Amino acid sequence: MLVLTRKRNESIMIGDDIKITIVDVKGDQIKIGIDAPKSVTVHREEIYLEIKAENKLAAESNVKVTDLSDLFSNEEN
Amino acid sequence: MEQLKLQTKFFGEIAYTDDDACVFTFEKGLPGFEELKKFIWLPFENSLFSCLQSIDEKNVAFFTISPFKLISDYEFDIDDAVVDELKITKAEEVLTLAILTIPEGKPEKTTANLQAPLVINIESRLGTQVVSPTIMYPIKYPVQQKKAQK
Repeated sequence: MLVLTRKRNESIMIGDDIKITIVDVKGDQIKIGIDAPKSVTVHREEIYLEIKAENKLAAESNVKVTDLSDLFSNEEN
Repeated sequence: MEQLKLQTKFFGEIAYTDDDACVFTFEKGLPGFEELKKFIWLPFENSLFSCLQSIDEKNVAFFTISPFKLISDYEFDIDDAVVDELKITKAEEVLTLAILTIPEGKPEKTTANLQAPLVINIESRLGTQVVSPTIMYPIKYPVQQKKAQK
């Protein structure tokens, strides 16, 4: 992993079109600005990890669909 | 197209062809299942529920539901990256599904992942699971809460 030191308002370029700027630093919180083309997906790592964990749980679901339909008995017909 | 046979988790053995309308390709897989690219979408009879069965791995199948059945005004932005990836040209092509998590033996505790919906273009038959910080719905939305509100 490449580790760089930056000050407030300094930036890092990744390739030609992704720019990461240190917007603000307060204690252990760092505010980061990201300029990237719309085709690049940006999200917090935790969100991705949570969804991964939820998918793993969901894939273990095993139930008779009739039991599931009971949850909706008021809505169905 | 050649008839293929598939062992499924909930429907036994089924026959399908690769160009069936309900065979979808997830080029990036799903988070946690990145290696699984091909799925077949199978509705349960007389039910709001459906199943997204992996074609590559018999034991991987997700229960799914339309999120609009849970929250009628459910909404989220599909960003340009997803529009390009799935070759979406108009809204009518988009199928949105939420994956259900059903705790063993406790179907009443079923939750729907409304934070990361599956978005599928039914024309190109390409799909993806949208992970976006702009979607503010819960990852574990209780399915039964709708009934409790009545």
